[in-house]
Amino acid sequence: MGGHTIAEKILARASGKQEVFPGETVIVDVDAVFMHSPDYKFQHFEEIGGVKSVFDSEKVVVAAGHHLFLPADQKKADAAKYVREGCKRYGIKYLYDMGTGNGHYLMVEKGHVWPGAVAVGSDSHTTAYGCIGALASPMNWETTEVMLSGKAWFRVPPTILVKIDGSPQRGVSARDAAQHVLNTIGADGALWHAVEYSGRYINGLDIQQRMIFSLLTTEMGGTCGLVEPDEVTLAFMKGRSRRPFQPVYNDPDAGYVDTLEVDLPELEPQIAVPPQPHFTKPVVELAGTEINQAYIGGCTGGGIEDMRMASEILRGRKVHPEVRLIVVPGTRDILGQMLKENLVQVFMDAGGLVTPPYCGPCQMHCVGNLGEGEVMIGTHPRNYPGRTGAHTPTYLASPYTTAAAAVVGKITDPRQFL
Amino acid sequence: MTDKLIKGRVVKFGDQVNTDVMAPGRWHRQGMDILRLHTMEAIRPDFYKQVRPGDVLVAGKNFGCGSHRESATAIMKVLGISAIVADSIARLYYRNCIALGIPVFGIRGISTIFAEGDEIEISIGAEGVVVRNVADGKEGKAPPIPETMYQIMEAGGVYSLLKKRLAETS
Repeated sequence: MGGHTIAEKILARASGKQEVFPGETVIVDVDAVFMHSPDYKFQHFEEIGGVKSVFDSEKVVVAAGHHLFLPADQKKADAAKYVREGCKRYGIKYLYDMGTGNGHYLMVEKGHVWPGAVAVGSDSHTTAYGCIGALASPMNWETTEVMLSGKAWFRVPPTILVKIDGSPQRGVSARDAAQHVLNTIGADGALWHAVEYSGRYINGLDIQQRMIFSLLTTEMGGTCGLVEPDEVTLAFMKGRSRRPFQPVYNDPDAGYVDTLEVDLPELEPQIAVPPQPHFTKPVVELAGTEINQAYIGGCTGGGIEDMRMASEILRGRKVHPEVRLIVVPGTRDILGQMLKENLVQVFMDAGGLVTPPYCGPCQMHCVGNLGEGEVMIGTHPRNYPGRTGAHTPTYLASPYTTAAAAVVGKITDPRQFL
Repeated sequence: MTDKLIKGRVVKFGDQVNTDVMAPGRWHRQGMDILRLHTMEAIRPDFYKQVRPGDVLVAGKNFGCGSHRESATAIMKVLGISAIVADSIARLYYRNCIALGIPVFGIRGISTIFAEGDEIEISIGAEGVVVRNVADGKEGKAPPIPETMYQIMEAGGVYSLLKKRLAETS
């Protein structure tokens, strides 16, 4: 009999079984539940009636500051107040309030997930925490039930292996590689599958850059995206994890349904074009497209390395006079590191705007709304029509490419600035 | 599992209809009365005027991909959509439909046998699910709905079940 993948082994452990097989439906104990806007959930609790507390005050995490760094209107202010009160009422210990950051970065940074953990969240990008080898998967309506029972059903996913080796060209980043993988697998190519990212390139990335891969797995329809824990993971987890843990590794003869190998040295800077995150082209094909707003941040671009890449382009240069540049650090810790490295100054000198940490303007929850017809380029994960407006074309690219577009006012190959 | 028959008029969509289209960022937290005026507007303006209670939504591949937002599923109930049938259904959207009690079926190639306005019949039974075009008799089949999911759907969603369960234990 063949060995098992990380996804299979984690689900076996969490469902109390010796082993599980792809296609099987299992009910598992959940180690972490993430939510950014639980006002709906608390309303559900009230509608259901008789709810006293969540299943475990340590395991439900609320990041009320994810969508807003400050409420812009009365309705949002009231909703935020309701969330704070609800956290107290239902015994939720961890509430990350305004200004603390993007919930996905916080879940990982603050040790609410660990290698081998099962996490669910009512945000489609919950797959993010696979970057440290957790099995993390989005759910939504059901999270109300998971918050109360601590249990969730999973269809055990077959695993697709993605191997990325070699060194990228200068100006090509993890986002370009992840965008290429997304394009190759397609918007539904990983439906109900796990995708595991491996290879020397992946092992050379920090945790936040790995998160780009695990997070974008949701845009392929995947159940979860994973990176097998390695030395980088274990060093990162040291002193951070809220639980002692046993990392889960692949069996040596783990069975994969498909393998994709990426030839990194050949890869050029990539860009996702409207109206879908997986519609990907080489940046050079879009060169000259005018933009109105450039956005460095979001849950695939708010990491410290993303800020360093953008600053490489923007240092000593000016943002085009007809472009707004918005920079959004992922968390307060990331902002702190940016201050230490003088990156905030670089963005300010260039004419950009650095906001407090939050999830950013990718769906116009807080600031940075686009006028109808305006064009945005950003490092965030999603560009579906309707998200930023009915007619606001949005391009997705690396911090290099986004920063280069901010300088020129048009989509531009960033390699000319490096 | 008791046999069940759903009949309705087809409203047809293409591939990759995503939740930002169903529940645009700008409108999805403004309440269902406002959201219904904007659902699908980026690809089909005035959809709310065209759809009637009891209609069955038929779509192509990966229906419901994108953001998790529950309003994108809830709005279908508000509009009176009686079932959703597509070539494939995005994972999260599928889970949300079950949790909310909306019958949902992914059957490869099913969208090709229907056009806008066709009459559709869905029979759900212990042996499986049959989706049929009433006019020409063409049909597609799906395996039976697992019992736990069927119970959630029949109860009208996971909250109704939770309510019942909490009432029983308290």
